[in-house]
Order: sequence, then structure tokens, then C-alpha cells
Amino acid sequence: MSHAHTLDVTAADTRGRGRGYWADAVLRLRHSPSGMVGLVVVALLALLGIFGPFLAPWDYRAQDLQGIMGNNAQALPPLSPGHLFGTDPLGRDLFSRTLDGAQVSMTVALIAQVVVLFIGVPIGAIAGWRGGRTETALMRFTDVIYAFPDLFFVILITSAIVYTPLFRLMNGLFMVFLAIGLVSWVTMARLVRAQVLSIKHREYVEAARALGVPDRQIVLRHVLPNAIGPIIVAVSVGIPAAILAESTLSFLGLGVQTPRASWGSLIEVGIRNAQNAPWLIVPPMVALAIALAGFTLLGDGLRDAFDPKTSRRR
Amino acid sequence: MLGYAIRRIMWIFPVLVVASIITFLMMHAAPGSPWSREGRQLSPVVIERLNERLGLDQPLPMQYLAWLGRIVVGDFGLSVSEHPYGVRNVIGNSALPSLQLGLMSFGLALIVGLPLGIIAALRHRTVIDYAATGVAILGMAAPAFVLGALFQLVFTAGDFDPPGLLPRHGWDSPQHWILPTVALAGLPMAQIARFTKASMLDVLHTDYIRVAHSKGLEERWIVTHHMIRNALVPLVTIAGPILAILVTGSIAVELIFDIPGLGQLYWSSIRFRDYGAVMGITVLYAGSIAILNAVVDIAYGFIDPRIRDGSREPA
Repeated sequence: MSHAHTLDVTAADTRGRGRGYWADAVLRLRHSPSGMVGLVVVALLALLGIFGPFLAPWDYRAQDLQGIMGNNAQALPPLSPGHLFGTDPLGRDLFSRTLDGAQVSMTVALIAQVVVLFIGVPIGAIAGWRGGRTETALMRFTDVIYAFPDLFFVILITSAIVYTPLFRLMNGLFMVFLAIGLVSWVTMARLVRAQVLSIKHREYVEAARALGVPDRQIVLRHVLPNAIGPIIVAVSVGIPAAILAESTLSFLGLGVQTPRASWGSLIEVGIRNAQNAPWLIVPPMVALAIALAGFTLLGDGLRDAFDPKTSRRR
Repeated sequence: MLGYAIRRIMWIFPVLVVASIITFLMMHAAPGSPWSREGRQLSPVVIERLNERLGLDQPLPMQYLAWLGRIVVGDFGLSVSEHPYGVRNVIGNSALPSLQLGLMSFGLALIVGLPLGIIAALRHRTVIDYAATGVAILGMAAPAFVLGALFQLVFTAGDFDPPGLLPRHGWDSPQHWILPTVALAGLPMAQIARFTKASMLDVLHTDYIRVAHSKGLEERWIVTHHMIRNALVPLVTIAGPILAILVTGSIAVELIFDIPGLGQLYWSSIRFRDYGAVMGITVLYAGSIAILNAVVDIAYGFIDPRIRDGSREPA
């Protein structure tokens, strides 16, 4: 990334202009301490999510029956041989399961945001560009979804598709990011519409229109690219919200299903076993807090980077 | 302005109708029926009679229209799981604890969040700022269900010694209110603090503050009468999202602390396919949020006329 950044800057400099939009944003992000901390945390989490299965000493499903039998069929405490964080009452390695939780959270967060982009951007762009009745219809529809409290709607969606093949797909993961995505696109649609409204009467758009460029192409090549900053910021805010929704849902038992581990469901197990195995709650809780804080800090940094008008804010 | 306000309010009704249709369809798309509750075996004849009585034997469009017709006159229908109570009674009994919990959390979030944000902005880039901002980040990182669970472990009596400081379940006395309220207030507190800080920093660098300084006004006066007053106006716009947090966070918190509120009622109604109760709660919540959003838009329309003619997106 830093390599690309250097290249970008030199290219811009040799053309005798100031730094480009992206180079500028990257530079501002690098000067934001909280943004860089967030970036490092998020990068580490992403790596753990991708390479977790190779790092994990145990399979997240594997039960160390011998181990817990040697402990009167009780969960193994931390620092037991082979189990850094100990095991749950079924003898499954807590470290490996927390790693699996990282993968689950990252997947849900990313794919939910893809769903958000695929629904929210077109709806917002069409509403803002077309105006008139189309805009009214689309925006009132987003109002409907906006009026549902998020988690209520997610629970409603999941209970409608529970026990169907969709639900079984990927141990409930598919259902979770679908439900979260179907609820969260509204903010994106409103944001994109507002951006399109503010861009659509700029000179370069008028010029493209005067040249007879088709609407579709104007929106895709001239309008949306100029709204990319706020969209990136919105995605970065949406990711921790999705992680939070997923973990709450899994905590309630409606989200990711066993044997896959989610930080939410691990915390639930920890609470149920708080009296005989109090250590169970610590790793997933800490992991969730680190992830939420990391994404929040990164979001702050990205806001500073892509929204220079308010960059003095934090 | 009045036209704008009326138009904005009239839009609430179609929004509610569509929201209730979506809820209705989803609820009926969900497998199972109110009578398939575990551990309960009803004979087919009884089920037929019950369906007849609740109108569940009618085709879906007719069921929905019947529901809509009743709701217009304020009849929420019968609750399936809480025979012989009507849905309105069931919701009415649950609404009070939820409302109380939500309002107390909101109050706490304001009391802690506002000063935190203001101090962080006034002492920008100092240790005090970093501490306050750190507390806010911590609030963002500790969701209501985590805080609630943690508080319950630390502060309440389990089945074992030592006896806890506070009661574990229920909503009977002020002691019962403390932990759920604090747990639920964490996230909105952080959001209010962060928003207030950003808003204060915006105001800090405006011309009128510079003018106030150059006039030699006392610092304290500038802060209270010029900065805070202006910085708090945009706070109106995050009332909606914060209400949503309080409402949604409350499902987990109500379940953890066994509070007989709407969140818990919604949760059990969905599980037991209590169509009437789910519809009623959805309409109640969607209605409250829609009204709140409308009020925010209208209030902001008064403050900032640009919103009225659509040149700015209402938040």
C-alpha cells in the first residue's frame, strides 16, 4: 500500500500538479494517529481471519476428550497443556474458537457491507439522479425500512428464513449477513442520494450531459466516483455496526450456529459457565472489544482522510 | 413551513402500512404456527376452533385487511400466547419498563456524554482530551449485551457466595434499575460524546467565536453562551439513531436481566409465532421511530430553512 502511495505521489508531482485525491487521502490517514492504530488493528484481525485456521492449534470443532476426562469432565483452565486459553466444557480449544470467531465476524462484516453497497448505492443513485416520482417512491420505501428498529427487523428476517436451506448455509452465516445487509442499506441509500443531488448540477456533469453521454455512463463515471469518499466512510462505520449486530444475534442464539464460533455465542457460553469456568468469557469479550474499537478508530481516520472539510474534527 | 410539517406527518401513515405488510408477510413466511409451541399438544379440532376464533383460517390478504380494519379503531386483536388477554393489554404492560429503561439510559448517556464531549473539545489534544476520547472509544467497544453480562457477573449474587451488591433479575425496585440502565447507556453515551466533541470543534473555529474573543468576553461566558448553545443544535439529528440503539440494545439487556419489557415480549412473541403481538409491537416501534424522525425533520426545518426546500438531506 505504501508502495502504491509513493508511486502515486511521484506520478502526480511529475505532471506538475498537486497530489491526487487518493494520495492526499492516504497521506492524511497516515497523519492520523487513531486512524493508523485502527488500520493496524483491523489489518491484524483480517490476517487472523484469513490465516486463523492455519494458526489455530486445534480444529474449532475438535473436542479434546482425553484432556477434559483427565479433569473430571470439566472445562480445562487456561495454560493447560496444549490449550493456551483453556477449553469449553465440551473440550474444544478456546483459542482456536476465538480465532474462528474472528473469521466469522470479518466475513459477516464484509459481506453485509457488500450487500449494503449492492442495494444502497443503486437505489440512492437512481433516486438522486432521476428525481421526481422515482425519487419519492424510492425514498419513501427507504423510510419504511428506516422505521424498523434494526435488530427487530433482523430478528424478523432470520425467523422467516430459519430452518430453510438458506439458514443451513454456512452454519447460519449466510442468513446473518443477508439479514444485516437487508436492514442496513438504508443509510447508504440516503447518503448516496444526498451526494448525487449535490454533484449532479456541477459543470463537469452538465458538460457530459451536453455532449450527449448516456445517463448511465454519467452516473457511473462522473457522479459516483466523486462520491467515493463519503461512501468509504459509511462502509467503515457500517462494519463495526454489522459486527455488533452479528454478535448480539449470535449471543441471543439466532445467529451463527454451532459448531462454528462467533464471539457473541462464545460470550453466551461463557456466561452460562461463569461459575465453574469463569475464564471462558474473557477471550471473546476482549476480541470483540478490540475489533469494535479498531474499526471505530479506522473509521475516524478515514473520515479525516476523505472529508478534509471536517478533518480538524478529531 | 406548516405545509411541510403536515406533509411530513402525513407520510407516516403509508410508511406504517407498508411496514406492517412486510412484518405480516415475514411472520407468516416463518415456519410453524402459534400452536406448534414445544411441550404443548393440541388436538386438530381444538386448533381448528382456535384458528377460527382468531381468524387464522382466512386467506392471508383477508387476515391482513381484518387486522388493518381493527387497528384503525385501536383494536390490536388477541394475543395468542397470553390468552385471554388482548394484545393491547400485553403491550401496555410491557411498554412501561422498556420506556423507563430507555429514558433512564438516555438521560444517563446525556449526563455523561455531553460533558465528556465538551471537555474533550475545550482541552483538544491534551491528556484530558485523550482520556475523554478513550472513554468514548471504550463505550463504542462495549456493546450493551457485553456490559450487561459483565455487570451481572461482577455485581450480582449468583447461586453461590459471596452475596452480590445488586439484584440479578427483575424490575421491581430502583436497585433493579441500576445495572440494566448503565449497560444500555454505554453506547449512546459514547456516541453523544463523540458527536458533541466534533460539533464543538466545528464551532470553536467559527468567526463568531473569534469575534466574541476579540470583544474580550469572558471565556466561561463564551463557552456557555456561544459555543455549547450552537454546538448542541446538530445533536438533534442523532436522536433517531440513538433511540434505535436504546430500543435494539434493550432486547439483549431485557433478556439478560429478565426485565418484563417490550424487547423480551417481542423476542418471545416471535419464537411462539404470536402474530398479533409481533404486529402490534412492530407498529408501535415503527410508529414511534417514524414520528420521532418526522419531529426531528420538522424541528430542523425550523432551525435550518434549507432542509424544507430539499436542498439538504434531513438526517
